Amino acid sequence: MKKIITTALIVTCLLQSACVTTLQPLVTYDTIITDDRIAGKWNSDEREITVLPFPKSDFYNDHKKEFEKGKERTTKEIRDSILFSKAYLIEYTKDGFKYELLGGIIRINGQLFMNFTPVNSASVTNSSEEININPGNSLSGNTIAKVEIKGSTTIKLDFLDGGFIYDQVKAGHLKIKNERDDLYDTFLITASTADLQKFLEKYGKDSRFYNKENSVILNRKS
Amino acid sequence: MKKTFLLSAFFFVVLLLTGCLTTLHPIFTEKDLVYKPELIGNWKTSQGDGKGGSVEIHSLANEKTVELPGKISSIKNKGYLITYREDNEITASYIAFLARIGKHLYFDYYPVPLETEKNADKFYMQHFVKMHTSYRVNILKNGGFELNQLDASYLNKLIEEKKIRIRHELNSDGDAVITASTEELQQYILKYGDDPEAIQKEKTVFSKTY
Repeated sequence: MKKIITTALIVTCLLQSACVTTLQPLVTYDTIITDDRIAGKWNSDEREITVLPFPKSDFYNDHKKEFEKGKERTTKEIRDSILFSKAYLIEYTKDGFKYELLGGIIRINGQLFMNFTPVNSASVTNSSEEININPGNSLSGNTIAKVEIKGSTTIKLDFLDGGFIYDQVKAGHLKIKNERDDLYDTFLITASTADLQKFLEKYGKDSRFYNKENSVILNRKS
Repeated sequence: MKKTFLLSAFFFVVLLLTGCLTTLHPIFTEKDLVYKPELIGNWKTSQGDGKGGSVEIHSLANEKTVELPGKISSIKNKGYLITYREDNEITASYIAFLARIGKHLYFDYYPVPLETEKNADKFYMQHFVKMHTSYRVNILKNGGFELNQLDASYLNKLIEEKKIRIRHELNSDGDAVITASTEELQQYILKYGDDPEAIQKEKTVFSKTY
């Protein structure tokens, strides 16, 4: 990682600006923490975003029976239950669709990071027939953002820059387990949860891994 | 196609056609491609359970409605756009390539976003990685053809029983996400392609309507 990328690569990076998708989550039941400073209603680019503790969400209540099965739960179900109890539901509406993601927070090297994974997306305008847009023949993955809480009114989310990581991996400057297929332009980080955490221990404070194109500023509404 | 919420297998879900083997990488390289112009046209499909629909197959070379990913445009002359309809509504669309692997022909399907997905929030959609699905193709003497899906459960069983070494990642439910390279996938197909258990018995028969 000592070789710093050239200007040409930076340009490529900007053109490809996107979040990086990981197969495994950054946050698991044994590392998740809560920080209720993120809860509330937020504005970002004229869009309202609601963040609320997952167990208090309508989504959780609507599916409570599925989450809280009988006493004989598997280890996985118990772990999921712990994770759900500390996770957040992020909701927003855009162009007639409501999007819901699960957010899990972890602290690494004194910094907060959030793992996002999609939960559901459905039309809000067509009540007679709900239209979902969760795509078929696809694998649902995760995105990761550094969370910077500025007082009680502003949060900055800096998503890991997929273009930068792709370029570094392709150039052999960065080692992280991944799958890459240039024919279909597929790039997926397949590193384990533990390796993702080690990766952020090493590079979490390195500004090159973030891109202002992938930054989101949330301003508190209530 | 599942339309339930994604948390049912928390954090990691493959939304796929039931039982069909899905892979992160394609099953073909350019040298394996076969182009059969007679596949272009309109087809009706029928399955053993009586279900059916209509399918349009276009040459990818002339297709301007689809944004081709990566370097696909370099091989588009050998590709197809396959669109499935039910009650005149598009239910699925794929970029497809026909490849000869060993003595059989196979279709590699890669999903094309439907209109709702194209207009969906980009951040949300970035969480999804498109997967390839594969079918064995049997060209019939009457001008039609049959598709049989490669069976995911068969490969999963081989992996579980440690009877095969093929690159994969385990999801939180313990299911395998196949990340094998094209070369590895072809080795699997060459070795198990004639094993009746590796291919789903249910076939979809395509008959040309014009």
